[in-house]
Amino acid sequence: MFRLFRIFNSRHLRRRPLETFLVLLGIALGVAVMVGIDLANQNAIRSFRESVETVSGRATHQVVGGPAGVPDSVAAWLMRQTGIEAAPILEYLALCREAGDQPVRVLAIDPLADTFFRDLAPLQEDEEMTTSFSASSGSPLNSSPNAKQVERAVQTLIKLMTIPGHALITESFAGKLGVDESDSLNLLISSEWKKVVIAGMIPARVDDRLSDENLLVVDIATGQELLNRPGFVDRVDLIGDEATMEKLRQLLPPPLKISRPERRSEYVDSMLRSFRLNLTALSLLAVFVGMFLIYNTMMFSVLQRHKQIGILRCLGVTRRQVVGDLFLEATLLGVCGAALGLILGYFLSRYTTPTVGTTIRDLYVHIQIAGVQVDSRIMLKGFLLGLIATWIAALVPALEAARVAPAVAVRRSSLEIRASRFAPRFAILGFTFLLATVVLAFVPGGVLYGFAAALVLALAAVLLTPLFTIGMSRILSSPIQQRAGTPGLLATRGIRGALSRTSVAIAALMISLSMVLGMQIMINSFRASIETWVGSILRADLYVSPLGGATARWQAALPDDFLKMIASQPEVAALNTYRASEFEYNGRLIYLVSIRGEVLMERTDFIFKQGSDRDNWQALRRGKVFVSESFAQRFAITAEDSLELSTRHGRRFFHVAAVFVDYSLDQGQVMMDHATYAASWGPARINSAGIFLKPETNVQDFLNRVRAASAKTFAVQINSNRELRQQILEVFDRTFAITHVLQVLATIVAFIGIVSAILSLLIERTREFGTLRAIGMSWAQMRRMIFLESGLMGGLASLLAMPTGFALALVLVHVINVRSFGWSIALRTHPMEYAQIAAIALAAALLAALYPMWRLQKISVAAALREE
Amino acid sequence: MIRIENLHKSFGQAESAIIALRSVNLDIAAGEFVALYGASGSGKSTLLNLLCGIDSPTAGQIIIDGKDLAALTDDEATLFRRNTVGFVFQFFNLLPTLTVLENVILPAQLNGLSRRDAEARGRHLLAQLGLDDRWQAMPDTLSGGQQQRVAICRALMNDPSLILADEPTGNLDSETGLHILSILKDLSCQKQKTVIMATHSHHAARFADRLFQMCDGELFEMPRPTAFPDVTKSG
Repeated sequence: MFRLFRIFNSRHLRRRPLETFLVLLGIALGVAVMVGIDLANQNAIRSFRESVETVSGRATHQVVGGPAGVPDSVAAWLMRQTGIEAAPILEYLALCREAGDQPVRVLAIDPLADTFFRDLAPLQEDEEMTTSFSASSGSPLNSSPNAKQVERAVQTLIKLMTIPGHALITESFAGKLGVDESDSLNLLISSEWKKVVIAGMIPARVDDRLSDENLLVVDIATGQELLNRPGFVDRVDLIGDEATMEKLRQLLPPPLKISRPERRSEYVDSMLRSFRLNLTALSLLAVFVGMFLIYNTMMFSVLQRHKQIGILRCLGVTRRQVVGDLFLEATLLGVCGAALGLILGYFLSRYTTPTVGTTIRDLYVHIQIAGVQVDSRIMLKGFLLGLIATWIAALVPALEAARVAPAVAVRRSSLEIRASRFAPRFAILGFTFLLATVVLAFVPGGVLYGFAAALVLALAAVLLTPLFTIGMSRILSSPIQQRAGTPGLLATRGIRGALSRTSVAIAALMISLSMVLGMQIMINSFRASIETWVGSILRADLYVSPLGGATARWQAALPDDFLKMIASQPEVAALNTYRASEFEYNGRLIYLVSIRGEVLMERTDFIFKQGSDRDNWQALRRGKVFVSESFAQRFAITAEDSLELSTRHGRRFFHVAAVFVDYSLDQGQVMMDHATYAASWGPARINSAGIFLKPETNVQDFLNRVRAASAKTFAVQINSNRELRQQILEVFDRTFAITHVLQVLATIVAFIGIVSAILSLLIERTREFGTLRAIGMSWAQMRRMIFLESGLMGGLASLLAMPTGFALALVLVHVINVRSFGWSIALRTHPMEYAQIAAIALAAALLAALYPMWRLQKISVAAALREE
Repeated sequence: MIRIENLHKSFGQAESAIIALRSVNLDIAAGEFVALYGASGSGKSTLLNLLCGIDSPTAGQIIIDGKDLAALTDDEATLFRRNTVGFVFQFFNLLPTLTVLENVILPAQLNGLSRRDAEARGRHLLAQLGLDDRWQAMPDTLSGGQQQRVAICRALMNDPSLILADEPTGNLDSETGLHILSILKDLSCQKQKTVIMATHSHHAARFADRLFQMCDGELFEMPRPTAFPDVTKSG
């Protein structure tokens, strides 16, 4: 078989370098998109996971609490227990003035207890330092060089533990900033700048990622003061066996519980799952479109070699050898294309990774992606998928080659006759798939049914393409001929005459355009829904939040003094304060949100799914809660249901008053009045506030005054209503930036498919074109014919893409988005969206004809007539 | 009608050049039926291609009805082919996506003739060649002889003064081939068309008024003997 391949196939591939290259490029782009997205997703999750694991150190378990955290008393009690090691932790991501816009992790620890968990001591040899410190009790040690080092380290630790505002800094971070011991750093904590003094360095350690971080370590007491968390820590890390942990679980007061350190990563993983799944599904589209390109090229290749295959069969080559030979060819193309795709995918990931990182930071959690790390599993998966896609696409051409009888004279039209005959059968199958799409869309279940519905819809459209092509080319033949004469007639007939190839090229372009249209309708509808939602809830004149929220998110709080200052201004009619905190519910991360019900009731227009606004707000003020749509969808909750939440008084039931539309937190939120929140978890630390001014107030003047007044004391961000709406829409647009890139890439693959198909068709019909030139067709007429044919292919693709794209938008909006994120979106469509698709299709098809046209012009008429 | 002076055609360059025609000189009057007889590779098709204007000579001149073909622009050559020449190919070269009638009227439609007028003339031509009942058929449903007759109708559509036929019976059985040859003969005798036919069949060559043998690119006029070497049997 290899000998046959060497003689027969490899020469064919070498003699058709452009067509071979186009196939390779099609496979490569499909693989590149998939690998680029997978690497971006993987790097984002890896960055977060590494950062969690790095800080967790050797902890086997953690005690975590509700929104307030873990009280000092519980931490102290845990540290006294035998059979376990315990260390309290406060953790915060601050902005450091000296580090520009780089965030710095602030870890507040108990230096003695922490040695079992992390290597943060200011000395390489921990045991020596710890032993010396324990033994010294303040006595000076002997004067050997090593002992001097130990003594210095001990003094550093004493300074850290006894003098407020001192911190250890990693050597690597200090090097970046150019600072040394006794230098001070300014940290933005929530909305205040606070100073810390460097007490010592944490040396770099091999295989210890923590020592490479931008890290400041402070004593727990300093941390509580810096972070304004008196009496609480974020968590208590534990080392112990499961049996001991089980006993502790029974003794912990509510809402505290013991979990594993990796739980945080799992929460975030779950949070990002829908986002990543949607990106992955989009990336698979490029592979799907690429398969059409491979099919078309291989089918053309088989048809070109029909006679040669017939001769080989005469000489004794079996059908199995022919099929095996074709698959070997496909394998070579698949391997080379996929390998090229891996390289391109890596380079693509250098764009997609920071883009995905930005979106995750905008919408979910703060992550810092250091760079793109190549994951061999992702590369292998991409490679295999590219190869498998090539094999699937080569299957029909290989079977076609196997049908070639041992004969020299072969009717080339037999394939086209079969294609025309099968067109109605494909159409029936297509309609069946359409019904299946509807069934899948309505089957209750996860988002995978939605993706299945989208895939089946795409297949339905592909199966309908041949009959659609035949029908439309017949309908359009007469009007086109009337306008364009003989070139028009030949163009429409040319499409029908090579149906097995033209319908595939049309289908590939159609699928790509449908995806572009469907996504565009979804994005535009989503944007319009968000604008409506923003208009209903953002009614305050000004919005204020701590600057530190950029990195610390919900940990950053507005100081009480600032809120009092604002509330005391005579221009202020009302002030809404807002608090969000992460909370575990039924094993998943949600948000508890508290607000001032009496303010929002009068001044906003929440979109509720049921009940009257007034009744709903009254219920909230009486202690009931609202849940967002995504929460309701995720946990199958409706109004009148009850939620059981863990509070500091134990588990309590909260009755749901209403479900409301929300696009801000796709994990889901439970919203309640501040009074309800405080009764269950203690007073809320406020994350942001909305300021409602009296009608006669000049908003800009007030804004300028507040900015000036707070500039020196508070680091806050104050935005006007318009500014905040603009920011929200900018985040929205950024979120879909990567989607647009994927759409463009999938369209490029389809464009390559059209170029390849038109090139193949023109080459196949070289003798036909030679005949036309010989009997008197001018070049101008020939150009018109070719452009009409390719333009018609583009036009047909766009015509079929329009209803398909709209149907896809329906699936995206009403199934996939709802099941992924729980959002309901009002579908809206605009004629410009369809016009855009038609323009893209026509431009692609006409551009695709340029090179084949140029190539044809270079062949003399005499040479064309000699073509087989 | 046709004057060929010192025509030379070669393919390739320098030492590897293949000389297809060497110093060919030829005068053909209007209405003559001329056969170019010779084995494969003797230069017959090359000469026809040059006469049609779809290829250009390396040296020499071709004057047809006073026009020097080499001086024509591409568009002028195209119009020349459309209106002055009718080409009949060995493999018929009918367009598979067009019906018989659509194939026939193609040259007229390229000239801008209305579809109604073109169809009327096309059907007239088909009727003359006994194919009127197949005007809606697709080419691949016709026999070889029928296809060649359709190709002849197409070649006659714009009433050209010159018919070029390249091995018109090469793909046909002998009986059908004779029928085609008699049609070409009629065109020459009764319609005063100049017919130049390339062939390697001595039977076909007998239909011509004048016979030229081509050998290694050179052209020799021969008398019209009843018997002469059958080059199909030569090496």
